[in-house]
Amino acid sequence: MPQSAIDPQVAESSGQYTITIDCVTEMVNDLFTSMLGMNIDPTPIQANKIRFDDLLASIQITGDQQTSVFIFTSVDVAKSIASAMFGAALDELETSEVFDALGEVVNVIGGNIKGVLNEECALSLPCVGPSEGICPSGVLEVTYQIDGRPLTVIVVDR
Amino acid sequence: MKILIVDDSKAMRMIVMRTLKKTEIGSFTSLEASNGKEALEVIANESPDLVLSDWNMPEMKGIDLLRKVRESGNSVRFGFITSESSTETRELAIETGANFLVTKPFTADSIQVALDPILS
Repeated sequence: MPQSAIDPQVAESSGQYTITIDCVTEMVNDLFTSMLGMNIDPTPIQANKIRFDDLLASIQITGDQQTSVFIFTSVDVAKSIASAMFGAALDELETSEVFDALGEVVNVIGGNIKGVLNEECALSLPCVGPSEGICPSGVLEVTYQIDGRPLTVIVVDR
Repeated sequence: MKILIVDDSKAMRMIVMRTLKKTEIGSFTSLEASNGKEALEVIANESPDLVLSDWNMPEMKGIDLLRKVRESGNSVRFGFITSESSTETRELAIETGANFLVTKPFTADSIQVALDPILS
């Protein structure tokens, strides 16, 4: 069985291709600040309790290592992300556009994580929908505040 | 200049278009396609000057689009804008005939740096 590439306790400075909270934080921060111009507090906060009506975006990295990346956030945060991406007012957005935007967030984070893994693997297409209470237990879970509201990234390695 | 933006995400196509307007490439006409198959039709019908493509798309991936384009003898300038950031991906892109690969998330500066050598 391959050794886990994800260990929140191991620093990148070890020279290993390891996904850490710092690494994910940098990816999330770059995405929201540099590309979307949104206000993100990159300091991880206490884990957000996933609500039944939150949205869930997921993507799989397949290869020697099977890794999944999940993003949970409220519909309101997803709408803010879509508004920033489309340059449209919140009330002009269609549901498909909100899903598209959140899918692109998990796609970028998943692609960046794939790039850090030191192995041959493939990235799936993103999938977005209501969380319906699903909450996977991950080896790395971190919650940030986007415009003061929570967005949780969960990385599952199996 | 005609620029074809290929991405299955409409949101990302919008961001690429908006970011291009912040660069110094000047005025351009944007064309859009949501996967490689659509892009092939647009390339055949519109003869864009530059193709900016995502990597991971349904129907036909960006790398397969590039292969088809090059196999047809078309030397259109072609760059990837993708979250796929591994060394293997970058090498495969260049070997297949891409001019550059910009990793998402990107900025106007990172796109400008990629475009400068091929548009100068």
